[in-house]
Amino acid sequence: MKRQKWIFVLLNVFIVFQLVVIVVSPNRNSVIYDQLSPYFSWYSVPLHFINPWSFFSPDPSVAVYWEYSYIYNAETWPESSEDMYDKEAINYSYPSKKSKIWSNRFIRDLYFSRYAAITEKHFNAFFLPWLCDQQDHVEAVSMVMRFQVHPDIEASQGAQKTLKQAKTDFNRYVGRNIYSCLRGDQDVLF
Amino acid sequence: MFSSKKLWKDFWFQPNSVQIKTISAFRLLLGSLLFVFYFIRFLSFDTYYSNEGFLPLSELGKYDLNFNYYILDYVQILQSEALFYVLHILFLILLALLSLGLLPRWATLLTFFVHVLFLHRNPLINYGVDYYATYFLFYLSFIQHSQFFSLKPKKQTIDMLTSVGFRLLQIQLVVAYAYAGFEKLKGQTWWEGKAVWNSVINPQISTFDFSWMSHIPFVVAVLSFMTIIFEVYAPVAFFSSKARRIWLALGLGFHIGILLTLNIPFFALVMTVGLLIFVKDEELDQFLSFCKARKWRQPR
Repeated sequence: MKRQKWIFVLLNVFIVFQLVVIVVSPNRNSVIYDQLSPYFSWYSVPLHFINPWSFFSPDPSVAVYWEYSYIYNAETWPESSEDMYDKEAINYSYPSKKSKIWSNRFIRDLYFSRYAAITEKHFNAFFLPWLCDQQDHVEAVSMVMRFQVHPDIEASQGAQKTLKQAKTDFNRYVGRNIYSCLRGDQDVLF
Repeated sequence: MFSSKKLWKDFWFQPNSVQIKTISAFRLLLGSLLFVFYFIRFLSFDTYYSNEGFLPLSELGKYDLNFNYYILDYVQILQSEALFYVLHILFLILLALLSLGLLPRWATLLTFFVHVLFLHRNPLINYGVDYYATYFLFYLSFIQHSQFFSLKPKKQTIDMLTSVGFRLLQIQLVVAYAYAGFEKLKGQTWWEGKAVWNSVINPQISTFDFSWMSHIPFVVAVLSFMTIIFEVYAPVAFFSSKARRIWLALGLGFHIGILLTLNIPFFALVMTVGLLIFVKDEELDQFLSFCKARKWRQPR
């Protein structure tokens, strides 16, 4: 009976603690989080109870992808293989511009491309080395990040303007840069 | 007389409130879905978890999106890639056993820990399903989840831990819905009623070409506002005897809608299964007998 009572007390303490974690931990910008997190982060971070639950918010995101081509090292390029300049002319995109229906791999690629390139530190540590490693004899990658802003719902209505045309109008990108694949050299070359 | 102590006790520790049959159905469906979902992840193991993949173990310390105090030691004690490979196979076996109803609570907790280990090993590829799976597996480890729909059904008296786990599972889900709703309230497109359009027109996540929806802006706006209303009021509605069924129907429509329009099928399915925790045992029985009756009526 005494054991049962102790279990009851411990469960109550756990319930209160877990409720605080459930309610407070998603709101990381709050004063309450700042005040309370030192008491529960030892528990919530290792157990990954850290999600902010911000799906499709504050607004649904636009399509973002990288367009890139490789610059190969002429000195190490094997003579017997195909022409290096032809390979350099190939444009890749990552992840692809269109979703692959029901592809779990595509969704994880999408998240990787965003998380890995979200800061300069992440870009240099994760994304660039991975892209460089995808092919042999790579010296640098020429890249541009594309944002395909949605056509406004009104802009897509009626008129004769096709959706494709509307999408082209809104297709924007940030400048193309060439990134060195040499490890330790994180500067933009040009 | 109103007693908050009694209310608290009844809410958390009343065995009658636990819908043990629906929670068993939840376990069966969740376990099966997660098994398939993580089996697909396993097919790309090298890309996700090897040192030649997205994130070599040596670079993990540079990840700082959310926390400076990332628990590296937790993952880095396991330096061996082969060990992670074996762990992933173990994880799949545990999920298979979970769906079959052969996993005791301690082993469900073990499944949760292995799952979390993989979340930490590569945080760059995690998304909604992974996050919900974390909570669902954790709370399932409190619950006697194998009394029904199991290869070895165990009839047991519902204990306090089961009751607490069941309630935490419910609260976790509604709080997640509420946060998702509140976050959307910060967005201009949600207020303008255009957010659903912006979601389905994004070629990277939409399943098909939904540009025809530009001709029904009113419906798009209603769907956008209904999404917010459903999520924001979920904590109240799912616990209200009058609104619960309406919210279950809305939730079903919401998640099936996501399944059809957005390319996140496992997320939509896991969330649909999650709604089961607000279904009563007798409602599940009614549904099952309805299905049975329909089956009998089919021509041979």
